[in-house]
Amino acid sequence: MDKTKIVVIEPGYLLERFDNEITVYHPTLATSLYLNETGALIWELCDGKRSVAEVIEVLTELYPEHRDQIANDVMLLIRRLLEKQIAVLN
Amino acid sequence: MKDYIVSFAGLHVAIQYDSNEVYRFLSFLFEDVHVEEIEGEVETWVTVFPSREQDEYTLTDTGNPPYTGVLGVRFAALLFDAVIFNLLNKSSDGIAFHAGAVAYKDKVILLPGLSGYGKSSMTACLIYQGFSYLTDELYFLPSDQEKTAIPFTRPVCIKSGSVAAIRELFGDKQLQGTLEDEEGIVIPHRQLSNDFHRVAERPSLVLVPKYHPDAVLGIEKLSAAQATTQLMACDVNGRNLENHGFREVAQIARTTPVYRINYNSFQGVDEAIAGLLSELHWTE
Repeated sequence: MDKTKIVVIEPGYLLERFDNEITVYHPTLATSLYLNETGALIWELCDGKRSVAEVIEVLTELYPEHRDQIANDVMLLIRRLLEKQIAVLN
Repeated sequence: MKDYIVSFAGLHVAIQYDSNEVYRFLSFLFEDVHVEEIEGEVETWVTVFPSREQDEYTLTDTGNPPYTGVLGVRFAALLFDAVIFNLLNKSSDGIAFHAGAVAYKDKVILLPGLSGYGKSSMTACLIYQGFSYLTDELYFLPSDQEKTAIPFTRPVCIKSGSVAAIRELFGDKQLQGTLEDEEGIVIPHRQLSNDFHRVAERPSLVLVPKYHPDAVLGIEKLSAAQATTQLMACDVNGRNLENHGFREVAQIARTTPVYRINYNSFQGVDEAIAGLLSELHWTE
């Protein structure tokens, strides 16, 4: 994965927040996705302006104790979003 | 030519037929949702007429290719699909969940699930444990919170892969007079339990059945976010609702406890359910 690319979530997703977790749903595509606390954070950082590397950087600053895990978690979720055609890399 | 009218959640479908054999078949399948007359006109028709082959009939439905076959389990399944599709095609006054439902005293347990997850089998298992049957297919929650929920009450439809387990549970005697062939079994629910009273409450508990041959029996609580994703997959008439009913479904997930039961047989399910109800203080 090219970490310099910007993650762009397809427009039209509705979001419901439940404590630290979220569920997103796209009415036209009829796609829904559950995101745990980490996933919810990553989703919100994928704002169409940040690159993959920047998402990793922000999370690493917030949670330095999880530095080793963060890059894997971010790329795993972004790969899932790409596979499900929920997001694209620009 | 006659019309057999099926009515559900204020919507109606007429099944046209012209023989006593088809009438008996329809009465067997739709007894609890049949009405003699309705006010206004029926907009949709499904037809069941004799085909050229002896003992075979043709099912026609707008939008689907016709099906010809004997009045067996497959015919019943396709007829249910056709009727339910047409009933819900314009339904926009609430959310219809692809779900089984049973009642415990005045409380309703909703069992939502995609095909193959054991929705009907788990519903039958709960009937065996003494719960009252409401539906094994569809449960309608009107948008107007003052209105009661509506179960699509029909015979319990078990696919071929689960017939042996159901037979083991209830025994041959209780399954006499059912419609059975290589496709599965259709069992009048009163034959499984005569404790039928239509409790049409909103669900007090959602239990998502998940059958898998390698599953270890267990019940786990789902978070509201997980529950919303599960329920959205079972929202049958979402296409007619604003945002597919996503906000309403999320609200149900926020206010109703949702659990998933993983299982590979009915062994131990009774104890697991009893434990859950005890945890929820239902048995006090």
